Amino acid sequence: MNKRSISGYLEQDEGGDTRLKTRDKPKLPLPQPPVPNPLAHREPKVRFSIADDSSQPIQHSGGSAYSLPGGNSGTEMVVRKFHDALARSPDTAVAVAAIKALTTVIERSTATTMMGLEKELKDAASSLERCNETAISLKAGCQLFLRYITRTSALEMENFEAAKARIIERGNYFAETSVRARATIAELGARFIRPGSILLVHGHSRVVLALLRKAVAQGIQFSVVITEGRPDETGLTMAQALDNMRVPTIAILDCAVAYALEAFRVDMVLVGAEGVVENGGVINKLGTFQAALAASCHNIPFYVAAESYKFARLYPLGQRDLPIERKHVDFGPLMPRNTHIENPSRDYTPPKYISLLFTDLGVLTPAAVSDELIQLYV
Amino acid sequence: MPQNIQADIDALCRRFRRRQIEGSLNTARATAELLRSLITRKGHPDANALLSDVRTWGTQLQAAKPLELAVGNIVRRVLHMIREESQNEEKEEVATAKVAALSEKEKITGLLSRAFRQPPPRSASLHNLLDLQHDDDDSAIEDGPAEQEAAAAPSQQAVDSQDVAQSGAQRRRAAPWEGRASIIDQLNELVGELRDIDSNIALHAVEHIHANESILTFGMSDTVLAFLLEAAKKRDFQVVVAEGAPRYGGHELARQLAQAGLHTTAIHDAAIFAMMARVNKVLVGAHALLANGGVMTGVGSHLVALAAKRHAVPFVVLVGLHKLSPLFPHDPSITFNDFKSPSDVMDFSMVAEVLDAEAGSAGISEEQLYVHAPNPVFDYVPPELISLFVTDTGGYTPSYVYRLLAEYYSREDYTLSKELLDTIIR
Repeated sequence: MNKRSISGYLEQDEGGDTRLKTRDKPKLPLPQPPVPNPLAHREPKVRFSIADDSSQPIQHSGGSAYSLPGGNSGTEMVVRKFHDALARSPDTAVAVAAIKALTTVIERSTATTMMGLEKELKDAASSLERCNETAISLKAGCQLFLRYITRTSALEMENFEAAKARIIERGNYFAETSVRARATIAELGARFIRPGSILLVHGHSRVVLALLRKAVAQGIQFSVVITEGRPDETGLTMAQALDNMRVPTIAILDCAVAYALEAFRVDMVLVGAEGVVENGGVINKLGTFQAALAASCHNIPFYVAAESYKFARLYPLGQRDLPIERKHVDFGPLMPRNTHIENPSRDYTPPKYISLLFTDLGVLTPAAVSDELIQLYV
Repeated sequence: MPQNIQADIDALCRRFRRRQIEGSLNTARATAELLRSLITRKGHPDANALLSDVRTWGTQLQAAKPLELAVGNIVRRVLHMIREESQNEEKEEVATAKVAALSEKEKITGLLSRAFRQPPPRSASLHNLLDLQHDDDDSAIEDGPAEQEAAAAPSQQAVDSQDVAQSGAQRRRAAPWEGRASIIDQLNELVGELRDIDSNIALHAVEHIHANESILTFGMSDTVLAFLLEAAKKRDFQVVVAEGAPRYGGHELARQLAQAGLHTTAIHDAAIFAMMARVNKVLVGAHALLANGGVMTGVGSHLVALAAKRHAVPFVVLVGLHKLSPLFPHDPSITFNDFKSPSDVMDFSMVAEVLDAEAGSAGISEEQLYVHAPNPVFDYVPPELISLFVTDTGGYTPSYVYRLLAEYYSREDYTLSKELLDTIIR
């Protein structure tokens, strides 16, 4: 038990009890008793999926999903705002929606001091985080905004009202920031694509797509090897987008990554990220880790494109430290009854397998990510 | 006056092209000195005019010697100085206005609140993520539109800069930019820094070389020589010098070290791997330090680095910060390698002999008889193989290079107008 908690998050959160429970579950089914699948009864708690940055529509189930523990009108409002912002356009990033929602909290706030405002925001942020405890970029967005309020330039203002106005202005401006961030990353990253090169891309990512589009616009000819992205076939969505851009694309099975790196003479691997953690590693769609391992074995550079608001204050030491989000997967009728199915939706790639990160703060080494986060939070 | 300036630039460009100035340090110094004299002579009305002029001059100089990244580095550093200076000026103006308005209130507030009043850091970071995009509308992605404009009308830009030059000349007597004096001061400092760069690197020698160690080095580098000689003042150690074929700079280095009384062993390049197990450290110089922490260095160094990795021997690169370049190794604007005469690799007389002997034999065309003897000058050593850089300001790991870049250059200057460069080269 102690060992577990050491390897856990270096972070305190109020809503962490479910996570702890799931983490303590045995990873492999015990040999003797034919246990029913411990997870079979669980309702899928997750209402929107961002593990793959997918543009699939967000389900608004409403009703019971909104009933939060100890929820009052304030927290419901913030959650509703969050979903509204997400629903407005499929291109909205989760962090942007979260910051939008938190901004409305400030607008309506009746607090008269910075401390009071901070308290209200903290409550709102934690209720936001509770609506999907596994979403890393949601957490990162909330953290960034809270930090902005307590630590950064808003404090330079003369009085509370001015500071509040400035924060609101910034919060509302953030959506544009995220669009700009993508443009900057595309600009920086496209320089890494040499004419005639072959890229392997895993998962659907809007940043990666923007980057490739930029490269196409610059007249660089390249081709892409894309993984299927089981079980939600996000790779095929990506392939469609690439097809529209007339980029020659080869689709492969997820298990063919190692084969493809050598067989197709891939020059670089490019992925997006759901979150970038404190040591410079990334959390992304399942299969990213194995792609990174295979790339490092073949001495192929592994690049990650991610906006800086995805930098999260997490320090996972391994796969087991990730918040678990399971998705349903159907193995068909041949599946034996007592076999336990595990389908995590994301994995953690340690920094040593990452060559560089393309971010709106510049092209960073994994070490530089730590530096940025430490500067902000310490 | 403008013709005079252009004549000076052309003169230096010619010397660059004729290879009358060789080596990163000499080119860097020549560039800095020329820029200093140009800025002194031409009174710019404001920082923007100065920026655009320095950019144009710098692009011409870099195009004359695309292989020496140090030229561009110095130009970028000067651009960064100008940007900082003009920013400081703006801030001062704002600050004085504020002080005038709130002078009494200001006096009361303590140190702590003044600390909070410090302007946010200029370079993009998570701190100012929300501020930056708003305040510096153009700077964040300036590369895009600005470059495109330059591409759309490079001739236009040239005309503009001439206009600026002329109007500048007219206005000069009226009001040259005030920050100029400070820029010239900083340039003087930079020139001084470049003059003492080897001795400044050597200052760190005793921290890195310990008693009774064996140090392996490869080829000839003035920086390495100065470093070893400095260490020898306080420490007793051995040096193993690999000759560095085909230019054999190692012979010269070994001779100079032995003359200075160091315990020196010269080996040929094929013995490097065998020798590696017996040394404590590898020290090499570099031609350029790239943005990912890799280096361009003398050909053969990659082999040495791999051998060092195999034996877990620290691979230390001595490099002055004038060699720090914000470009990545794959960048199309880097001319990566230089090729020297094939006679180093294969003697001409021997080639001629082969040709004579075989020319008569039937069925072989003359084409097939040629032996290709490429003679590259540089190697690229990736950051994974490098343990440490020792620079004039201290030791840094490859993963810290991005930080140095942020310190010395502005992101807007990372690409010196690529389109302009293309047109000049063509």
